[in-house]
Amino acid sequence: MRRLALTMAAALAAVPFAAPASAQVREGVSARALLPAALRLVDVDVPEEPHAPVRLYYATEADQRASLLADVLVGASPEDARAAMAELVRTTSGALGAPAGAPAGAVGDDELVAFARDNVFVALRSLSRSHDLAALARHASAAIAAARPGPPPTAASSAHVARDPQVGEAVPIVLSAPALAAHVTARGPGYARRTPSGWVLARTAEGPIDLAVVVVDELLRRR
Amino acid sequence: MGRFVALAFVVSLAGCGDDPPPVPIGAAAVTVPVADAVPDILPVLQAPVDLLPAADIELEGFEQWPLRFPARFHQTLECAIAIERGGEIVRALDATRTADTCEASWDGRGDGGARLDPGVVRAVATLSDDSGERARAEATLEIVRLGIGRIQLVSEGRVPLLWRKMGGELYGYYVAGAGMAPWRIGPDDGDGAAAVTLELADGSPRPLPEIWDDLLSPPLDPGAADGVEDDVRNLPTAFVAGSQIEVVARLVTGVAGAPASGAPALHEVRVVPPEGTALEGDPAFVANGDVTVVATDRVPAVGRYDLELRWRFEARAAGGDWTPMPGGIVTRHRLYGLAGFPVFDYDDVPHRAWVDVVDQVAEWVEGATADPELVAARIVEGVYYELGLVYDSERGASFYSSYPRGSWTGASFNATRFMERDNGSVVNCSDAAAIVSSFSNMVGVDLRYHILTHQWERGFDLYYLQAIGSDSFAASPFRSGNPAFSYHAVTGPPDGSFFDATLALDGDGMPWAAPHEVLLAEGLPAMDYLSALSPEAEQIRIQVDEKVRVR
Repeated sequence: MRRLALTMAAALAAVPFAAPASAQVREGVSARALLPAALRLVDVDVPEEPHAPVRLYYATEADQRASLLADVLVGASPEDARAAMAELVRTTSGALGAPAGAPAGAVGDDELVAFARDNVFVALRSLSRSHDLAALARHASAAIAAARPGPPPTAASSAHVARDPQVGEAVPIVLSAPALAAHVTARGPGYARRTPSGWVLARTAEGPIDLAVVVVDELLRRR
Repeated sequence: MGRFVALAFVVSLAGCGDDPPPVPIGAAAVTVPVADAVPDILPVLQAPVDLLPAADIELEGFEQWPLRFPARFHQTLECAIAIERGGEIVRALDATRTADTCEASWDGRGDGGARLDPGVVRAVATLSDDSGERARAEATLEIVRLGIGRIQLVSEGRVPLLWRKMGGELYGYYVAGAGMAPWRIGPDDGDGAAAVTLELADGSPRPLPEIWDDLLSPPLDPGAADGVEDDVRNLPTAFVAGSQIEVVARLVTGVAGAPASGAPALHEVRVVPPEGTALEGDPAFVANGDVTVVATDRVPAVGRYDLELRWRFEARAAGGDWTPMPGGIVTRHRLYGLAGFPVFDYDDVPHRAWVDVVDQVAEWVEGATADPELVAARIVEGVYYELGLVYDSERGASFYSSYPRGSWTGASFNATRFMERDNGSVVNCSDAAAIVSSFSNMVGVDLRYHILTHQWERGFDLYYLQAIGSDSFAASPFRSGNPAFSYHAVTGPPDGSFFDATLALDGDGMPWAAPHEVLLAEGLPAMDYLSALSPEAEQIRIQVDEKVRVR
């Protein structure tokens, strides 16, 4: 029973989604164009871990809070996107099927659809069970296909503060590049926190503080 | 006359033509002998022997300043008591006469009802009749203004707390370190120039801060250096169970418009340790000085405790006896008891004790224990039964946790999103393990996560189990009926036992068949756990022994 049930997942993990011959590399995919306009992008989580997808939170007009999650990774290559797909399969303790109507190679079901196209991985999750994920996946796939070809930028972002805060003080953190979203961590006698106007650095004691920042731009590229 | 002589503390006789000699501060008396009406009773007024020499009429619970002048006099004499300052009567009191006293109570206010400024006044008692004053006694009183401006709770076991959503912003971390005084009052920028620590600009007492019970954000003050209210606050604190707490109170004085006034100048004032505490060091009330008391009970267990401290004061004239002041100051404090200091593999923020998690665990444990394994067991039960979580029976996917590509080590848990349930209430084993272990880590319980995989196959078969959110056992946690996990995540302390909130095992010894008996893994030996989980227990590999990274 188990062996049969896990056959597909095992196959996916062992031979992770062979790239179609036409696979290209896209500069990125617009967060606004990824899904239909009826879905509002309401929040973004930027992971610290390399190779981890960005998580986008979408809501409909009727939603009080986000009802759809989209995990998106814009990789350097199609292999990156396929590896992200394999990672989803690996860390799912049950089995993922092949959802009807979703883009070719997609895995999932009515509440989760994941696929890799070119160098972009997308996983959609409906929290309200009210979304046609296959249709949304097709929309996302088309948005990727329409994105400009070319390698994503590789320059890393950085962050700094205009002046060193006093102990007990918080000062704004300045990012080196425009960001759709960012996540900043501080190591040393202080910490970073998000505020409505951006990230700030709070100092708790004297000593050097290192800032680490991960930025996602409008094309969902980690920088 | 003999009786008169016996009253040796009477310091002078009126009518002898001389000024009375100097008298001790706080007590003076003058008698006027009755010359005619009733010669066998000489009227006598005596300085009060139990006089309260100093008081603060703004103390909570203050009602009256008792003024009792021992007296002996004829029924026809009138008894009167007045308060004088600078030679002027500022308040005429309604005095009453008993068999042996002339007494009144004073509310500390002048004739117009206004509070008198701090400083010295004289209470003057007189006996008189139609012919005039027949006896007089005086007492020196000192109006003081006493208060506490800051309370620090000191202990080697104090644990910094983190609010995770300052101002309503996700990832809006705010850490209150162990060195922060959790309780303080003081004027804010907008209070007006006359405001002082103890009083608002209009002279009304500054309200004492209630316990701050917002579990997500500290109080805000846009004008403060770090955006957090730093003038008036009463934040909860956390301590390792068994900690002894020193309470250090900063003593302050001052009234609106006169910040330097109100300190005891003529009389001695001391702090009376609140019930449940013992004095450490000098109790003398010195403006801007500290007084320290030690809580007699140690923090008992993991739980939420509200502490009420009733601070009272005593005063005395030099060389006199201490007399309790009416009223006092009641400060209230919220303490959390933890099993230990947070135990993470990471030391950066937000790897701290989160207030809302600590509060949740405190509610679950309810002061029943500080034993780490028992606390962990309660966390497992709380997560399994009480958070409304449901296993992802479609596929077993993670919603709040993740691993680095291709690895089971270095797991991350988005606790911020989980506490908001932003990704829903559906979880898998990695999520449940992350929840249990991170909650435990925050309250000082050393739980790590482990990954269970088949040694050579991709997945292992399962016995009957009851997944989180389900009310019955099933041969498979999945709707597909697939009775297998490709992997499973559990938690455990260093001793190798398992704690698991993802599922309940069938604990009746025959997990392959009905009937079923709920067995939550709460310190279950690893092999016992595996034997109840899977018919392939011997082939299951246990890997990874580390704590999750929290965001």
